[in-house]
Amino acid sequence: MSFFTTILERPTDRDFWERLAPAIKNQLGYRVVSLYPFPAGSVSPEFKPLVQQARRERSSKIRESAQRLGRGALLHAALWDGNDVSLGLSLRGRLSPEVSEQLLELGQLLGLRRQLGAQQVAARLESRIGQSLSGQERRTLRADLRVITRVLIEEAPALHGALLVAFDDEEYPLAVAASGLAVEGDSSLRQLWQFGERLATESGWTPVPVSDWMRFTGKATARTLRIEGGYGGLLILDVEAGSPDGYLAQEAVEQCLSYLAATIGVSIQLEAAAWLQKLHDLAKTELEHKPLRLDHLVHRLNELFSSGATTLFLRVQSELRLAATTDPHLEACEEVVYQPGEGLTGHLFNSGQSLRLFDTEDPDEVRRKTGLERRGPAHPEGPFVGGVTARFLAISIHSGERVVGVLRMCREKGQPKFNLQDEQALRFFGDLLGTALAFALESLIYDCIMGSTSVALAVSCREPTADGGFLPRTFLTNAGAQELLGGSAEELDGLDAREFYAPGAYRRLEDRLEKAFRQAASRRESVEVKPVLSRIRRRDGTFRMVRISHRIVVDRRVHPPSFYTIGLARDTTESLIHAAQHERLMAMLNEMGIAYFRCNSAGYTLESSPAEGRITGFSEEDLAGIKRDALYVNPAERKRLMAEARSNSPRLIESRQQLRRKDKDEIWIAGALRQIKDAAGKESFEGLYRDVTDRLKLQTFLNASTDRLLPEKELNQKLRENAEFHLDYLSSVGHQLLTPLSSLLGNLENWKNLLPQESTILRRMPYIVGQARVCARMVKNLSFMDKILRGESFQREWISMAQLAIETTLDFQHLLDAGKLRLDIDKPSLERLLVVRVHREMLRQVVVNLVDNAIKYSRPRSKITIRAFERRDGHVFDIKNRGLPIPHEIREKIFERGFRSRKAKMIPTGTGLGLWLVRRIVEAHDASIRCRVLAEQGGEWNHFHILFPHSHHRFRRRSFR
Amino acid sequence: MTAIPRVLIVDDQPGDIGWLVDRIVERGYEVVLATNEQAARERLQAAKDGREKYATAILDVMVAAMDLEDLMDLDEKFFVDSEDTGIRLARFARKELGISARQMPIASLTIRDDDRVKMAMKELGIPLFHRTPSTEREDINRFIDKHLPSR
Repeated sequence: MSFFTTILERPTDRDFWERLAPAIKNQLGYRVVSLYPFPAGSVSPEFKPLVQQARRERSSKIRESAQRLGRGALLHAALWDGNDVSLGLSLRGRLSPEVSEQLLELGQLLGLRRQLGAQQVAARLESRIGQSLSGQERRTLRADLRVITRVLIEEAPALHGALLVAFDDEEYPLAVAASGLAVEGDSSLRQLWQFGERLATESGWTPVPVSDWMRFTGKATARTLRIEGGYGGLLILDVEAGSPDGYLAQEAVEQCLSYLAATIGVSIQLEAAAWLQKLHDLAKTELEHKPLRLDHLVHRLNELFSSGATTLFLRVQSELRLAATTDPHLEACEEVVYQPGEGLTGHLFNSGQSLRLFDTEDPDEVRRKTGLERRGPAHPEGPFVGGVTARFLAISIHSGERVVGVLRMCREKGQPKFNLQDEQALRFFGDLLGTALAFALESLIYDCIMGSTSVALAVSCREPTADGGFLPRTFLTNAGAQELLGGSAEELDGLDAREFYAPGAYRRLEDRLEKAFRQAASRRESVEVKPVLSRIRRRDGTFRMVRISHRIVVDRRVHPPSFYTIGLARDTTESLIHAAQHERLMAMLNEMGIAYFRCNSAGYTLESSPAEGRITGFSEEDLAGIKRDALYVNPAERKRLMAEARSNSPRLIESRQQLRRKDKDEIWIAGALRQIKDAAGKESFEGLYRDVTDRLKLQTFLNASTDRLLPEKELNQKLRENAEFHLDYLSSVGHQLLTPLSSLLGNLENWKNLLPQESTILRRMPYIVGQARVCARMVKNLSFMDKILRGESFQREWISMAQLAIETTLDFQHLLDAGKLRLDIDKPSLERLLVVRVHREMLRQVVVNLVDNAIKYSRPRSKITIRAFERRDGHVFDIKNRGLPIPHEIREKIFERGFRSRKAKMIPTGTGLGLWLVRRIVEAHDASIRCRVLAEQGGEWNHFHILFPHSHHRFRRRSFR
Repeated sequence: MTAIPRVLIVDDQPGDIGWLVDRIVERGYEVVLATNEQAARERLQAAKDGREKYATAILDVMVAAMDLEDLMDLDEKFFVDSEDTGIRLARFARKELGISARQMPIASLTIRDDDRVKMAMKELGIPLFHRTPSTEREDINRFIDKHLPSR
């Protein structure tokens, strides 16, 4: 048994087989006649059936041959080692069960030994390959393959040569390397390719018996490799067939196959990565260049792929147009356009895939890969063959799901085919290019869309027509355009944009557009056509007025350049109506003398109507240059108004303001103001107002309050009352004038007939004179009233109120007598305090009216006193009487025109004008008058106080010095 | 002895018609003056009762409703307008008291000749004269000549 143990000790010893024969004799006691290790090809004829039977039954076979020539018996054994017949033996001797068992065991041991040996060799191979590859600096697939083959022949016994080919998914060699085995040029590769074809079509990737392709190398064995990613490998070994070492080497290589496949896979990946890196670098420099230099790009690609010609087509609408090419023939073409499905390029445009062809002129290959029946080259670009021949690689370029172009390259016949790596790399590049192109195209159009805030936007592309004209075909409409035109995007898509216009409307635009197209063709940038009013025909046949502008955009990346028309329209139907309404409204306001303005919060006028110019005297230009604060007599008012308008926004606030005209006149205006905000939220103010100066003057004249503007109704009422008052007043004045006049007349009539006695004349004379004075007084009242109302200026002189009072008293003597009244004048106080600079006759009228009043409403036999006294703020002229006590609530009202208290109305003599005139005259002299009721001397006294403020006094003193 | 016949004059500003008073006095009549409506009513009532006797009465159409002294003590509710005092008095005499024109002729004086006053007086059968004498118009002197002959 010691032999058996040594069998397994050194499984790769080369002298094993020499040592085997003596060992068997020692162990079994049989002489070895012949010994065939790994009986592969040549064995003796008598052995052949036995080996074949063993292989057939996959077990060891032992047979005793017939004894001949007295030499004794022979034992023949074909020992099955678990995998193959590893040993053929002829022993001299007879078959016994012990021998038979030991031979079977030997077969098993040999199997074990072979496995161990192969494992040891395989391990050594793997370790060496790994070390060698990782030690390399720049790894290429070809270099890696060379390293592998070298290690194989160095390490594996009985292996004289190795050839390793890496294939792409179409069994086309990516790289070839050989060591110890000559591979010569194209013919070898072509034969390998054919071999690969056969493997693919007949037996796939399963091992093929050596004998089947002996015709190729004569003495070679081969294994195919399955490499991840669709790649394949072919390993051809020149190995000593039939020798035990050769068998071992095959065995070892067999065990290494998966390792080799993985290693080659890594190499391919590394090479692909390097390839992608190159393209990535290209993309980086080329695609980030703005604008894209497509010509430059195709030349760089052409160089990188060692291609014969590279061409880029881009999508324009539904077709492909030439964008850039390295092919001078194509470049010279007038127009290169592919419709979808037209030729291989058109096929790619349709399918959105990529395509690699070994030979474009091979109908079978074309059919197999594209499904197309291609009958030779059919180039849409022209009759010439150009660079598009044989080896063909093309990819479709995507932007999202949309095919935006096709990039194709080709090599002439005799050039290497484009491989899977090329395709994958180009697709990778195509994706980058697609993104860049899409961005460029979209930004071209999108910028225009985004740059516009128009409601409606429609984009059409100008397509040439067969008759030499063109068709602006709509392909993009936004929601605004769909609304305006009354159709969905699908309905509008593809329509002739000219049909969107009302009949004749397009014709008016045509010249402008044509001019713009010509400009756009000669310039680099897009051309804008200024907005015009036009009419749009909606899909339902109705018309809309629009303000429309156009932009002509040229896409110069294709040849010839394609023209896009972007129509931007705003529906002005309503705004025109509104504008007309607005205009009419403004005209009406203008006619009515109502001013309109709009200003910003800083106070600058944005809009001003002509009426404002008339009211303020400032023209619109004037107003544009000044802050509106300047219009206000009190500039702070404007800020207050704005604050109020803000807090009440959006309601109108009413207000009455005093403005200063350009000519410095002060006027009153009344109007309304409000805050408005535009779409952007920017604040401004607008308001309407009218000049109410005259109206306020009228109200003043009518004794109405000027705190507010009276409504028409109230004002009318006041006017009517005023007119009635004047009529009443006139008749009342008439009455009052007539009374003394008729008294005068009556007396004179009496005396005309019969001259009275002297005593009667003397008795009557004061009455007669008094009556005449009363007449004169009333006429004066009228004239002063007129003067005061007109606001006329008057002359002033220094007057002693004492003197004035005394003079006046004389006029009233008869009335005083009739009422048995006494009038006291405190002359000293009046002289001391009241020498004032006034209009003599007006002041006389004041005294007259006050005394007249006092007499009229005094109790019989009572006293009327006139005096002066000093107060802190001035000197006071005081007239008091005892009469109808004036209730508190009417003490101011008695100074109003036409006012008579109910009690006073019991006495039918007053006109309600006297006190009003008194106050007007007093105020015209910068003094004031008020009525007071004071309790003194056992009763209530009515006082009328005229206060001459110190200004009068000081002025007098100064001027007197 | 026969008492001097009297004439009732109602006017709150008798100074203005001093000439008229003079003329009546010169004709031999005694003038009784009422300066307000209240006083006039009392005189008319007395004439009706037979306590007093007047040859004629001359009313101013617009006379104070009452004297200032009394006015000051009155409450608001007693106030009456002085516009139509003459009409009220005439109506009082003729309608309420039933003093006929035969018993006592009455004349009225006015400064205004507005229709309302004219109508009212015409209805009562009382002549209305202007306070201003005029030769062209029917004036108070004719009335005096007719009803107050000189004695």
